[in-house]
Amino acid sequence: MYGFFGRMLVADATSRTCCMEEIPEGLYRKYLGGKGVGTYLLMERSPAGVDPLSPENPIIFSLGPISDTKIWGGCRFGVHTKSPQTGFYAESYSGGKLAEKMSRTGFDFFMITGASETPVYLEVTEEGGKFHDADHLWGLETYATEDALMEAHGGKTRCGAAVIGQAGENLVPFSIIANDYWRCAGRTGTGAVMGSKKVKGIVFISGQASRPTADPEAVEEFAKKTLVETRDLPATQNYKRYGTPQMVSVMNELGTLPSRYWHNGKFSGHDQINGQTMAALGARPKACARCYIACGKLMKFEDGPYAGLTIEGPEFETIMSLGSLLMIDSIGAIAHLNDLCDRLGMDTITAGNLIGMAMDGATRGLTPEPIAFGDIEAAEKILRQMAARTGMGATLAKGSRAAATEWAMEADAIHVKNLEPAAYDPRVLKGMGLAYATSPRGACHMRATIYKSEVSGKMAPDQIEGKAVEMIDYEDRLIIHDTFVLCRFYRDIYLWPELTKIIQITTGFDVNESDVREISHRVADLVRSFNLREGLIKADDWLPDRFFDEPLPETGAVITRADLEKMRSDYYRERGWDEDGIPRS
Amino acid sequence: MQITIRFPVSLDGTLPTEKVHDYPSGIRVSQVIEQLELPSGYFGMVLLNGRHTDTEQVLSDGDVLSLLPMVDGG
Repeated sequence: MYGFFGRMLVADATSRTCCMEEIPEGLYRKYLGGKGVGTYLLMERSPAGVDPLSPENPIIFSLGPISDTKIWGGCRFGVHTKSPQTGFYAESYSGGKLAEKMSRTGFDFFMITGASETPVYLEVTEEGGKFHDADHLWGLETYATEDALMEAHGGKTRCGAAVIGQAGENLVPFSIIANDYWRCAGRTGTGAVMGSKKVKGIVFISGQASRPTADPEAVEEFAKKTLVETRDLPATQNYKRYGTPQMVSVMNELGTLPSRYWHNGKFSGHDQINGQTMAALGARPKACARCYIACGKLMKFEDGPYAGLTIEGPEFETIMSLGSLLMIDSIGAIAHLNDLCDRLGMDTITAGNLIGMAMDGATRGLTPEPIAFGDIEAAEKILRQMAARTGMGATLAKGSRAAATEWAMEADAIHVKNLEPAAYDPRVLKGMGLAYATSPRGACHMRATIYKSEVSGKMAPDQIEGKAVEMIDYEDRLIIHDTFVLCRFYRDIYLWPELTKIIQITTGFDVNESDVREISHRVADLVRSFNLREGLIKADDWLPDRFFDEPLPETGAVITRADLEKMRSDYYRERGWDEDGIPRS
Repeated sequence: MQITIRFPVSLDGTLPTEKVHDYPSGIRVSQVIEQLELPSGYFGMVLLNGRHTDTEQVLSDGDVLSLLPMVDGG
């Protein structure tokens, strides 16, 4: 078998024992790696209706056929489980340099089952897994946990670690799993699942395992060609110079930079928190392994209130959630709040949205304590409270839906399936409305990235006809990305022909483009089946009322219920699902 | 007729600009863009008076055309 090791490590935290399982080649042919087989395993190993924070909910780390090969962009790993935040399918991906170390242990998947009674961490080597006591790590922030695991196991040239912070320990449902300090499986609360198992981290000891590819020469040639043809493209250079914060001022101009907890689409301080300002402050490109795009921006604050702070980021989404959404116009303050989220182990998008909801509620006296838009110190205090589940943060740590119920803000809260949206307002970018409504993990911007089509002028943001078909093409390609496991920012570099070629030269599978599309559809149906099994109904694929009823003041933009109804109906039909969103096959 | 051309966001280090140009009546957005001779790969979306517009739209006196750079997302 090529492209895969065909092995999964199964680590049972209850008994603190580990074993290896073979993954048959037929499964890879049917679903590919990463999200494909990962979802199959989740479906098979989790009982229907499982409590996400119970020992019975497995958490699966995944790699794919390009992990630790010369294919550019193969620097990521996936995490698959049932989400404590949404109650539905959880998937989240992280970059950095950890995926290489994971792959060199000679496994494609790492599944943790059960739950320990006392804190543990898992050591993974080529020989298998071993649990260690982690009492000394419990209570530490993510950076310190990673440092401790690296030091105990030979340093960062030999090993890498995926860890949780205090938020994960305290089962905060939007907790992250972090690696390489600033890289995170950020969304849907996978860190809380680790916390529920009392697993503080996993350390991967790099061995001699080398992922076999079907045609190594073709892989090398493909990588060379990709580099030559795309490294100087404007898109590549923009990512290198400005990273994702290149979006800030453009989105502001379009009136789709969420501000004042989704009451505005423009923010007057946008030019203080954009990529150009970060570059002027000395932000430097930082790349993950196997990447020449270098979208990461390393910032070091030498003086001022945040002197001494070093961080990779903030990313565009965080600039929105901890910046414009909260009316904070200091890039230093956003970086500081981002750093705090990383250390405590919380998703910046959800955390920022929750603070925004509190600030919005406070303007009408709905919160137990006042908290004003733009108040950086109050935002910091709330973040610490959320991770520790104290004070007003204890309410917010329950998530948007529960907090909104407690504060009589049900009509105000912005979320889909209890996951809060990212920095694209669906009242302007209608396709993002469809994406947020139908994504299996809630209001997610990454499953389909239809915004790319809408902000590039390819398809008008207001266009409804044909939007579902356009979105499905993106979504299907990105499902293949997640089976590889490949970085999103290669989405315009590897189109269907390139994705097909990558499968051929890494796995040796005799597939054509049509076969690859079929695999993608199969995975999409499998994920949908998981969510249906866990109780998802058509009404869950919908947007918060405010997006229909509250026009953005700068542009008057809204999305209508008829717009979304039409796009959702088209989406179900084009996916081959019935009118209730149930796969026919 | 007079059309205001705005480059409200710059990704190449230059400052945002705004300038009024004279164009013959009946000119389309696409024709204006062509005459601007923008560098390849620069152009993303065009806004007419702050709202997205089709490039075949015919312009009217006093219109404000905003040209946004191509961006790639996050």
